[in-house]
Amino acid sequence: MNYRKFTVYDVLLYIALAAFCFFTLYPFWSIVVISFSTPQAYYNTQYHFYPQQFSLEAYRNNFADPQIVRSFIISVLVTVVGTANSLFWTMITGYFVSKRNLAFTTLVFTLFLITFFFDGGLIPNFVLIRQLGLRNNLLSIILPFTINPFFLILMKNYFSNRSKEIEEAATIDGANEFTILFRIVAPTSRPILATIGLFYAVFYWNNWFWPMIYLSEPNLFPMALYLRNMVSTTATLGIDPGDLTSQNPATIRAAAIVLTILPIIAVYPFVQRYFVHGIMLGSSKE
Amino acid sequence: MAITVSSRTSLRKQPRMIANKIIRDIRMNKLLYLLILPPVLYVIVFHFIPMYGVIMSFQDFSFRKGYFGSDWVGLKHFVWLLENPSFRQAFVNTITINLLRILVGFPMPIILALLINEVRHHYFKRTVQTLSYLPYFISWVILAGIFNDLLARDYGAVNSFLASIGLPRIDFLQDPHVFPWTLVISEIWRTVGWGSIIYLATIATISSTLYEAAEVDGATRLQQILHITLPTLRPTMVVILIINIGNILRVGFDQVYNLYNPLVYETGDIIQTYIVRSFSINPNFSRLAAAGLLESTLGMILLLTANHVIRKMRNGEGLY
Repeated sequence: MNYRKFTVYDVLLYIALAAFCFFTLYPFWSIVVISFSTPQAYYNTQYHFYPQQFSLEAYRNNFADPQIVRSFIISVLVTVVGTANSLFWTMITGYFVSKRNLAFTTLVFTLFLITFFFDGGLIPNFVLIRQLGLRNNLLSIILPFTINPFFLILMKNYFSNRSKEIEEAATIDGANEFTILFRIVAPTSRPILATIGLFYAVFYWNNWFWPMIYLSEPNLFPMALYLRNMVSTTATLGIDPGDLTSQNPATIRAAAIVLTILPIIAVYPFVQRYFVHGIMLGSSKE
Repeated sequence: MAITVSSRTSLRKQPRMIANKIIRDIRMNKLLYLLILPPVLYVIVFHFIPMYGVIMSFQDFSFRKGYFGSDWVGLKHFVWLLENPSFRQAFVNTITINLLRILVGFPMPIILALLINEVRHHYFKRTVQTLSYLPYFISWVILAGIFNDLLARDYGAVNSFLASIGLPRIDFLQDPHVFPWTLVISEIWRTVGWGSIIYLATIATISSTLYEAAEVDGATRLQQILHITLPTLRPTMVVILIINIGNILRVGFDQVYNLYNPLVYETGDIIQTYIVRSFSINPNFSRLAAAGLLESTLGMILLLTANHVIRKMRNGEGLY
């Protein structure tokens, strides 16, 4: 590290980056502040740096609604089951297509690669789910997303690059593929599994679109869709959210937003390095 | 003569030999093939059946008759779409919004990466970086909820600020001339940090001796950026730019669908929002499948072309 003087440029640089952090954080911070304010205080203030009149009323209102509690539980369930299912099958498929000495690896990999470039689109997928009888079934927002081709490619690249010596030694010792995959490969691939698992978890947690298409019974709605319906009643009608006539007072909406964001923000500082790891894996092939 | 005979026998033998080889391969790796059976079944059911389903764009599809019984109508739906003003508008909007996004948004992560790289306090650097990725993981449902408050005309923080310094209030979400810019800027806000990771990683590979030598020669920090850092970043920039262009038809749905409203359809409606909105109002399944097919086919061509260009540039090393 060289010891340059702290010049006027450095001062400008730090100010610019501090401003950048402020603009990144303020939208989130303001929504937290609004969620802890009374509706009256919300309408009387333009900037939300701290709650003018502290109140837990918005949260009390949200928790009084049995639907939001149910939606939260459904989101947790779908995220946990979906991520486990996706990770399990992505790992198995990635392991299979990373084997060079098998007859069908290229064929299987090509099948998945095609899905990366082309999909049938909304309507044929909807027709399929309807004909499978999966409408208004939570499986409809888990099963179709089992293997994401992009994460499969990451997985395959990782497995192709790891050294095969331990696996070969295990084979000589009489271990079968099942043992090798779950007792040797999986435990030593923890970083990539964590990375891909987290991306899957974010996907399932944030997913609102497919639930909107496949589910019509409100008591099955996950949190993201519940929130969308709450937010979009104001958005699609073109009502100013500050408008007193809007259906859901801004403070209640803010509290629902905070509850939806909370799980992501809570784990984010601890897992963000895995996300960064993921994008590096995806981009550095050379 | 001898050559002809031997080649004829090998031709006859080959299929059987290959079959034997495959059978031996399956027998030896029974367990692996057993494990791959569910994923293959999955990809066929959940991906290839819907792909086959796009044939409904050439039919008048009805659930009662199914894919095999519905009447064929040729290109009727495509003609209808291409003559339909709202669809054409959505098509133009998709390209306009995404080109604007690339034009304005492309340099931003590079600038941020250069700025972050200049910071010498490790702790400050890490904090800025960590914060900058955060919005990328928040869905547009939530962000739309936040922006609806922030950008509101009468109560929002941004307009209150504009008014307080004597500028006119702006209807970010309801003025059709402003709305595309709202989309562009809010998307930059969401992705600039995430986009800077790749550039920062490339910068990290530059040997510090280059900078030290430049400093000995009396180069200023700006000169070091212009002559050392930026040239190193150029290959990465080109790849990212090509990927962005390849994705022009594919991105933006979540954002637009959560932020737009009837007042801004003329400039904000994109192909996917057109499809989804029509689907929830009055679905003509075949026509919407045709719209989807148009979009995904053009999108695929763009993406494959982008990959091809990158492969050419990197001497055979494509992205996929």
